Amino acid sequence: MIPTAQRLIASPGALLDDPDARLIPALLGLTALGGAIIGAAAGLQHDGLQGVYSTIKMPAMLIVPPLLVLPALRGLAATLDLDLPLRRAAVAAIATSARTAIFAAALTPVYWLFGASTGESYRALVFGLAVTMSVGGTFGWAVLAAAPTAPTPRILRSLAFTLGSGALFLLAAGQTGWHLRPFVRQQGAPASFFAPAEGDVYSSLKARFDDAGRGE
Amino acid sequence: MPAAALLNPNAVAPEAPPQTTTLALPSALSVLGATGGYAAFGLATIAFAAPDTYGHAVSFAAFVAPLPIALVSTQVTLAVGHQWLRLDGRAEDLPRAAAQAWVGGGRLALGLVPLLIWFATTGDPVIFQTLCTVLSAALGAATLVGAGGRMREAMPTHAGNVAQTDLFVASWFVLTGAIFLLLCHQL
Repeated sequence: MIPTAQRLIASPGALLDDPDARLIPALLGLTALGGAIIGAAAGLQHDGLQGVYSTIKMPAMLIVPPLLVLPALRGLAATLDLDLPLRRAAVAAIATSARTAIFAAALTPVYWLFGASTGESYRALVFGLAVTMSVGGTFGWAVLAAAPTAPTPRILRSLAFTLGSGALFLLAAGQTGWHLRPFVRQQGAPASFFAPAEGDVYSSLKARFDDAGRGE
Repeated sequence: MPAAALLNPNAVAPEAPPQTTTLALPSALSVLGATGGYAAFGLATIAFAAPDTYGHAVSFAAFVAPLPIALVSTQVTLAVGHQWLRLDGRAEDLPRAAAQAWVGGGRLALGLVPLLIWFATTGDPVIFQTLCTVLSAALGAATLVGAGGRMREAMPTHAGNVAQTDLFVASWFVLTGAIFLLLCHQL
């Protein structure tokens, strides 16, 4: 896995151009490992059991979105007249999650220190986790941007693919994360594997903004 | 260097013919598949976002109909603009570009169905309706960008100056996009 991780960090485009048979298992392993590290860091801030739950759930949060968006990625490339064969699209989608997991895991010490410096406040920990995953996701996004090819330069359409694929990944990852919450145990509440099914990440964000608008 | 140029260095070299891309008309099978993709997208939104009878009709029309109407309604503009700007490509390539992009849009619509189902089964119904609207607008925008890009490749001008082609494609994009949004609003 180490050589794959090095290639994924240094030159993700070359990884897509020259995939071998062991690439996808290695990428899935890296995703699981990176996800487990950041999941453990989030869950262990308050509770050991929640840490175990988060260590299990975070890799799932990183592996589900590429599966959900893979058909849409190919459809988007076809709409924009860009070449994206199924195998290349699959490798790119999984590599996006793997790169996200690696960079998020690399940010774990910063996240841990941030949590400690804010008195392990629940909201601060959730916010810090969202920022950590977003930063990691931005690095992962670079793999998606390099995925489609074209016989002639197609700048506008490549840009549209980059933006569209990023938005699709964000939608899928946001909702998957919401569905698999909590990753951080709320103070006073018991550790839990799943929270009760209610609303979605966008309703929750809207409620938070409304609260902020009212000064609460 | 050619012999003629050696004898007379000031001679103007004959202009190379512009590079054009000939677009093929989508096959009947791909058109059928694209129609199925749009229908699946529309049906997914109907099943989860608008479970009443009126909602069925409106949702399906709103999500599936405006795009081809917008693409077809600009064909006259395409012909006039093509003549006015003296573009070198074949006029029939323009509707073919739109048709190819429409077929690609059908594949995208089909590809969005798993995401819609995931959101419908795990999310809030009100936000889901908003999401459907956003995704259908994005689907339309991607199709228009795809059609415009194909047109640009198929339409070089006499002197290889792409500015006129860009003007033509940008005008078409704005016009078709406005029609698409107006139809979405009406429906």
